Amino acid sequence: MTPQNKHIITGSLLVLALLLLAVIDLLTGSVEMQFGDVIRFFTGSTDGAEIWYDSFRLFRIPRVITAILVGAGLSVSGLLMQSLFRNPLAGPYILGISSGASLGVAIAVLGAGAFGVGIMQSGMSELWLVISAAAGSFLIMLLVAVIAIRQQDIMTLLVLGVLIGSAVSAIVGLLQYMSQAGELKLYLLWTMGSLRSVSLQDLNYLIPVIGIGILLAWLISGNLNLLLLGEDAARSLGVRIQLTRFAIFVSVSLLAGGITAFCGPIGFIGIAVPHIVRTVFKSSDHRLLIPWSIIAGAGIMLGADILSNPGGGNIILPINSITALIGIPFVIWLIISKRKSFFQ
Amino acid sequence: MIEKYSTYLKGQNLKMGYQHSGKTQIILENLNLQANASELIGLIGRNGSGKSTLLRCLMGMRPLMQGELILLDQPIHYCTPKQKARKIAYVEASVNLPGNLRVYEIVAYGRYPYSALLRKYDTDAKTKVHHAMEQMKVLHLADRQLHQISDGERQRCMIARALAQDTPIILLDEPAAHLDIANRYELMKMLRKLADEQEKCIIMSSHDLDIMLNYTDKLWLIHQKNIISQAPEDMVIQKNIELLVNASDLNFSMEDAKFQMMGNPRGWLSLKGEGLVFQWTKRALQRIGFDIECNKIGGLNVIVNECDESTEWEIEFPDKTVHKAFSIEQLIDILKSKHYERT
Repeated sequence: MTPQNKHIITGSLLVLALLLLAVIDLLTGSVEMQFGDVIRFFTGSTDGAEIWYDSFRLFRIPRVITAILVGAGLSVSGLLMQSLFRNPLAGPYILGISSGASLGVAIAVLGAGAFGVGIMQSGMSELWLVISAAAGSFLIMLLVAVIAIRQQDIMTLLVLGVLIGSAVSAIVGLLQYMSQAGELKLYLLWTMGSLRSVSLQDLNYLIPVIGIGILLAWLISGNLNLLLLGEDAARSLGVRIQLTRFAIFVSVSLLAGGITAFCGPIGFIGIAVPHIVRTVFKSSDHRLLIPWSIIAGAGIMLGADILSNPGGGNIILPINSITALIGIPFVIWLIISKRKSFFQ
Repeated sequence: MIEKYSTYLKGQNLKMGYQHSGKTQIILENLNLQANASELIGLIGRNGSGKSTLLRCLMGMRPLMQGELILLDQPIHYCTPKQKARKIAYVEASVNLPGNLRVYEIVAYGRYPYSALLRKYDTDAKTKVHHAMEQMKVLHLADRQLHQISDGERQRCMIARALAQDTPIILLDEPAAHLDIANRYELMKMLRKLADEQEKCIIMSSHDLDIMLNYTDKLWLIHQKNIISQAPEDMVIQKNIELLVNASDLNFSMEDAKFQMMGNPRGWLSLKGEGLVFQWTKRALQRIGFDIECNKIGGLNVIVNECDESTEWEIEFPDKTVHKAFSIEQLIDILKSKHYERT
C-alpha cells in the first residue's frame, strides 16, 4: 500500500469517527433524545414544541460546535508553536496567552472583590469574564510581541514566555490570597475550562475568529514546512522569516486567545494533538498536518465533552481534567513506542 | 540566463562583521572577490576566522557593512528573497532536523523559490527533484525518513535540495564534516562533476586540506580579515598555505602536501636504500624527530635492505654496534631505546 492510500484510509476513518462523536455528543445531555430526533431537527421537520427542542438548539448545538472549534483551534495553534520553536513541548499558551487571560480574569474576579468594588455582588456576567480574559491575553501578547521585535533569537522568546507565565501566577497567587471564598471558586471554575459558557450568540464571534486563524495558518503552511529545516535553511530558500513569524503570532493569538477568552484555558489538546498527528501520519508536511490536526483535535474534544457528562446525568466534570486524564496516558505510550517521531 | 554570465559572483570592497551592544567587531574588510562558472572554490581558514560569516554574507543572510555584492546581473540588495533563492543555494553545517521528514519532501522543498502561494510545487518540480536526487544518488531513499538514513546519505540529500533549487551558485558550509573517508571522496567527486558538467559555481568551506588541494580550482584562504585567492598549487608553492598554522609547531611538506608535526629533535642520521619502503622509513624517522641526511657519514646509519619476501633494517650506531629490525615499529623501538641510553 502506498503511503498516500494509507493516508486516505486513515483520514476517512478519522472523519467518520469525528461525525460519530459529534452525533453522540449531540445526544448527550440531561434531556433524553433519540437519533431520529437529531435527523428531524436538521431536516427541519420539527414543530418546535418538542420537549428537547430548546435545550437542543440553545445548549447542545452551541456546545458541540464549540467543542469542534476549540479542538481544531487549539490543535492548529499548538502545531504552529511547535513548528516555530522547533520544539515538541511548545503549545498554544507558550507565549503567555493563557497567563494573560488568567491575569485578566483574576483581576476582574478576585481583584475587584479584594478592593471592595464588588462586581461579584452586582452579578458578574459571562461577558465580563470574556472581556477581561481577552484584554489580559492581548496585553501580555503585546508585551511579548514588543520583546520579540527586539529579539532575533527565537529561543529567548520561549524562555521569556515561561518567565512571564511564572510572574503572572505569582500575581494571581497574591490576588487569590486576598480574595473571598465565593470569588475564589468562580475564578477556579474558570481555570478548569468549559465548553458550556458559549451561547448561540457568542458563536457569531467565535466562528469567524477561529476561521480566520485557521485560514491564516493554512496560507503559510508552505513556509511552516521550511521552518522545520531551520531558520537559515528557510531563509536561504527565500522564506520571509519575519513575515512568517508575524503571521504565526497573529494566527495563534486569534485561535488560542479567542478560545481562552470564551472557554478558559483548556490544556493538553494543543500540545498533544499535533504530536499524535505527526506520529500517526509519519509526516512533517503542514499541508497534511493542519487538516488532520483539525479533525483529530475536534474529535478528541468531542470525546472529552461526552465523557465529562457521564451517562447524560446532572454531573458535569471539568473538561480540563478529562482531556488530560484520557490523553496523557495515550501520549506517553506514543512517545515511548515511537521515540524518533519528532526530533532525533 | 546562466549562459550569459561567466562571472557569477563579484564582491567589491566588502566589509562584514557584527555589532554587539554598540561595539563593532569587524570580521572581514576591504574584500574583493570573484567566483566564476564551473569553479569549485575551497574556503579555508582557522576556526573563528570568519568562514561561516563570509558564506552567510554572500547568501545575504547577514547585511554587508560596506561594499557591493553582485549575483550574476543584480546587486544582492535588489533581489527579493525568492529571486535570491533562484540564484544562490546554501547548505549549512549540520543542524538538528525532525527525524520524520521524508527524503523526497526535503529535496522537494528546494522548489519553494519557484512555487506560488498554496501551490505545492511548480510544474518543473517533479523532473527537477528527480534529477537532483539521481545526481546525488539518493533516489532509492526517496520514501525513507531522515532518521533511517546515514550521515553521508543525509548530507547528499541536503545537497540534492540545493540542486533542486536549480541555482548557478551553491554555497556549502563544511559539507564533509561528518563524513567518513569514502563518503568524503564520493561527495567531492560529485561536486567536481557538478562544476564541470553543469557550470555550477560551488563555494565550500572545509578543514580537510587534502581534499581541498586535490579537488578545488581555487582556494580562498582567510587571513588577517582578508582573503588570499589562489590556485591550490600556487598557494602551496608561495607558502601561503602555512598561514593556516603556527609555523613553529608544524611544517608543511611540499612533497606530501601535508602538515607534519615537528617531533623532538634527535639529531641527524644517514639513511640508505630505495623504493617505497625507503620513503615510508624516511617518513617514520622524520616523525620521531630525525633529520635525514643521505650523504653525510660518521654518525648513525640506517640501511634498508629490501629482499624478495621481507624487508630488514640494519642500524649501525656510531660505536659500531649493529642491530637488525624487521618492521618499522622495531626500528623505532631500537632507535628510541638507544636514544634514551645516551641522554
